[in-house]
Amino acid sequence: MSKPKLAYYLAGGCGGCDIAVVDLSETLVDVALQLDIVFWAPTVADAKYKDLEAMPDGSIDVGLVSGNVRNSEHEHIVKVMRQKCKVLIAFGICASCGGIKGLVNLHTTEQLLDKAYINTFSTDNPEKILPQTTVVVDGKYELTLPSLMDARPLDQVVKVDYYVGGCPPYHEHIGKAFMALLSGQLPPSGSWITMGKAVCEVCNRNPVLQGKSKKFATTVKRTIDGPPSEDGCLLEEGYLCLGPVTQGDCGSKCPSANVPCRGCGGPIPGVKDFGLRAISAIASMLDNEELVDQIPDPVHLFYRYTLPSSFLGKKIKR
Amino acid sequence: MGLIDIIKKITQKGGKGMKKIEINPMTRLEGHGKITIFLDEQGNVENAFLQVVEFMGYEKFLIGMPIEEVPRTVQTICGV
Repeated sequence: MSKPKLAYYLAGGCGGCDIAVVDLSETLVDVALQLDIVFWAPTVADAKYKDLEAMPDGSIDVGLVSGNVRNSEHEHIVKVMRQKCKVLIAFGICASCGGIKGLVNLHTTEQLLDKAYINTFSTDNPEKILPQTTVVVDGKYELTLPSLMDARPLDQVVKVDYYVGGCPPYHEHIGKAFMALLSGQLPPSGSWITMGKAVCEVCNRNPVLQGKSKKFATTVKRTIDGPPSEDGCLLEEGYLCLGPVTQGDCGSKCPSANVPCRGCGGPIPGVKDFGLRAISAIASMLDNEELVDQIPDPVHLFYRYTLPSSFLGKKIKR
Repeated sequence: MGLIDIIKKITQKGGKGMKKIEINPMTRLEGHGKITIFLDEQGNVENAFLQVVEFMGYEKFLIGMPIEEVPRTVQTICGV
């Protein structure tokens, strides 16, 4: 039997998901030996976009896409990936829900470009030159750039078979996902690949797991207000931790390092809008309504990784 | 064979007029880049351009975020 063919495309992401695959270390050797990697751009393999376009439709067994869809080039290659791949996986929270880079949807393209290229104190651009989709240099060299668009998760552009959360996905989780993929033991199409537990369910700080009950938070704290206790629940102490609504395939890595969860794992099964669910969960754990006004910067807290996939989507501009 | 030789070999077979070779994407790195090489009638490199085809926008959307949240947010500018 020939090896399953794998393609990997990094769209509007940071390469952190690629590095998380490398973090598999020895497991990666076992996995890689069982796969024929036909495309992995731009980070790992030398294949170009036109090489991918030349491959027969449906000839690749599994395609992974990390990063959101943010410009016309991403949109085009993602559609090509869908044509060429039998199974397409949104790999990491950017592809699944939009990711941190999806926060661009809070602003118009003009606002974003203005800040980055003109109105920053360290920028020297008196002619106010902005990136253009087409430019002719010296009257004869025509150059093109992709056009920018609002950030979208993968499933707003093409049909997605599976989702893997995390920023980046935790390497042990990737290992399990790859093994499930290779052995054909996959959940129904359209599912998240997850063990199905929330961060709280695997968190050593969870009082419920220690036979105690969870108390309401009587104060709202920021991490700069001082370190939390050694083993108490961050939420009880007032640090707004999104562990109750976030997939815990990471093994609760942030809370175990005194850092409240920010939801990169994606929504627990059954939840469509992560931000709404997070608002509801946090609100139900605060002692009184006055505390709600003390929540710092709610949109960056509740929608940090999931704005483009939320009902807010791109409707709100700041 | 060096890159220039390869380009010469390609263009010896090619027709007349300015030719454009696009290397898209640049590979084995993180971040999306594109190289466009323009050749003259003799097939020699006349000009070459490197373009970074990505734009993110952290400069704008970070505004208003609590300072202690910024380090774990900007690490996604490049995750390598």
